[in-house]
Amino acid sequence: MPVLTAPVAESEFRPYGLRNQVGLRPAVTAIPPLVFDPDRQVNLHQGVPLADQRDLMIQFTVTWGTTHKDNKTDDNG
Amino acid sequence: MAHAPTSDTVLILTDRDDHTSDLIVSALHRRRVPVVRLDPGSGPFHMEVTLDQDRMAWQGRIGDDHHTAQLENVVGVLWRWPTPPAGHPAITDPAARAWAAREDRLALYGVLKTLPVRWLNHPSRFEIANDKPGQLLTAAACGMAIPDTVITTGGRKARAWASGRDVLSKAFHAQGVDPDNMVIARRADPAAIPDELGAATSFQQVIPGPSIRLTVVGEDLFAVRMNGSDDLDGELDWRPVQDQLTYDQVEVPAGIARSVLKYMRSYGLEYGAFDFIDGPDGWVFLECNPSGMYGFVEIKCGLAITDAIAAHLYDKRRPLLSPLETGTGLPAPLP
Repeated sequence: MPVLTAPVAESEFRPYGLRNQVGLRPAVTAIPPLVFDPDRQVNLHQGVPLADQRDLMIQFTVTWGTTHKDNKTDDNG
Repeated sequence: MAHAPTSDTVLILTDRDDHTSDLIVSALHRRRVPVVRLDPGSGPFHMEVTLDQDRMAWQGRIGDDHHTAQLENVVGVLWRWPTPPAGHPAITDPAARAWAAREDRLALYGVLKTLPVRWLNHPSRFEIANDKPGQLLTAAACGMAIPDTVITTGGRKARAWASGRDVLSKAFHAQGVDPDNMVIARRADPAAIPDELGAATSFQQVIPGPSIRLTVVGEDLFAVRMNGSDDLDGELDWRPVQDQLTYDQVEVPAGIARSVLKYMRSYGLEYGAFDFIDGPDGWVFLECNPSGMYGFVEIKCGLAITDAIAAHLYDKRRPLLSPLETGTGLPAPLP
């Protein structure tokens, strides 16, 4: 069964909710080396659009590099 | 400023790390639809617009060093996760640069929000729809089951409410104190809840059952069950292990479909990522992210969500929204 990472160590007074803070595994946070091509307006991996490499997208994080905008909440700019 | 397309154009506001948007850009390119992808915070942007009082609309050009959109040609806007303007890079004084950044944001976003186009989603509607306390009320009003919930800064209230219940605590915003941490939803021991919580905290009834992710584009519904999401060694939150789960497409119960579409209409949304629990008494609504991720669902299950988004932004059969309908309160353009 999937195992979550241990919570980040707590010290001093912190909000109760942060007890549930966990570090994300590289499997979730890792992204392949990408270069944004401003002319084609997409990210490239070794010169090939990431969008054309769905196996690569599956292989790396399913949030596709945006762990700070997880799939539940974000600031929407 | 770069040359602007002279035909119908789709504008995408999102950051460069939004790899899922790459799918949408590619889909629009396959349809030979001009796309301008703009991230105001990634570099200097340019805008030259004029208020046309005859057409009651802002006219002109907005873009970056590589692409420019002629506002009159924009037919659809996909607003996902743009980073806000950062201020002109030549401004070295931090306070002055922050002032410039704010001016840029108010100008750029203010003009964009008035566009009478196909929105997915309009940021003003996103702002209202993104509030979790309101989401629960709206979901219930639209006929969906919701979990019992309290929000409190006081542990005594939480302990009293949670006593004898199976409850969890969850954050309003899941990002931890740095980008690679996440504050997950986790079962709460009522006896261990301290008197002082340090922040408003949401406690919610645990609904047993697998998680359902329902992605809605217009009136198209795409639902998947997350296998294993209800068997995480005592944990409740599937997000940190989503790469280890499997997903199966499922039918949306007719009543849920009606309620979800009613929910979308009540907020004026064209896109929503809904989370449900398939509980003992049916689907229970947890929340809806008006700009939530969908890429993992599409790629793992072969769902055509990207195509639905691209079509939604460009489909000439779909009406353009007047400024009144975009929530800006401005008068509709004169005929």
